[in-house]
Amino acid sequence: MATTSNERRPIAAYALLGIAVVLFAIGSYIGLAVAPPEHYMGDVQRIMYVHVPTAWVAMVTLLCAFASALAFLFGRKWKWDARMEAFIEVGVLLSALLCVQGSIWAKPTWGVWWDWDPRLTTTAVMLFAFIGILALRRFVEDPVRRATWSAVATIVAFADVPIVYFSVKWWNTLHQVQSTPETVDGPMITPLRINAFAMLFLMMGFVRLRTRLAARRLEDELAPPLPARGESERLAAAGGEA
Amino acid sequence: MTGVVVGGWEYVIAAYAITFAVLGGYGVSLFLRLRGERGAGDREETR
Repeated sequence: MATTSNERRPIAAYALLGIAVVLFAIGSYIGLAVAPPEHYMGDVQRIMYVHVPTAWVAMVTLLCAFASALAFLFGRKWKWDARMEAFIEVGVLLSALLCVQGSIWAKPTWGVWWDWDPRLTTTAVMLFAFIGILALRRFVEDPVRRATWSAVATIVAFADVPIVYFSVKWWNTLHQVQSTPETVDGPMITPLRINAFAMLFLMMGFVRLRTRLAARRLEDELAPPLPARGESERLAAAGGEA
Repeated sequence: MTGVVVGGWEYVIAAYAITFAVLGGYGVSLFLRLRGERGAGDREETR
């Protein structure tokens, strides 16, 4: 029997994860040991080398979930539903991690673990909106309804993602503006870029693996039910196929 | 008060440790879930 691509070992996903681990090792070494401390925040600023890549890739992941939702609604192909589920789960993981890293950075610099300022509040809304979609997918058993409802919910929830990104420009917030090569000093850009690519490759590897799981479950749900044991024996005795 | 943060390595270590523990844990969970699914699929085929 020929194997389908879903049954083969996920070599590409493991390769992406391997590249991500190597890049993380290099980027974190430079960020922790080579890059200079920031003038005001000192060594605490080194959290930026994991926090900012997490933020960038979390938003890219949720953008991909949004694109997958649109592709499912317009194309009606199950592969987009599986990809959407994978992108949402990995996006939620990265968004939750983003909030934890931000809290750890906030305590020594702002003096509090959390503040209801626009950037933090919109990020929390984004996180809980996508957790809600994962919960929706868990509780709806019919695959057609689950896929359609969660695709619509993903499009609605995605409206918050650009608000998160632009919140530091639109409102007067405690959070600093976006970190870009223009706003970050030269020696700090290298570890930031390396870790950003590491996080991107890690996300791609995770999404490929998670998509296989979602596709496997869809195959089971959409497969026609097997005949009962007695029925299959009767068919076999009659020379038919069960 | 100088406005300069002094020290703080414990926060840096906590942020990096939590980041890699969460990402590593999720990677391991995906691997185990895939292996479990594959095992269940193989058992279905041999039945």
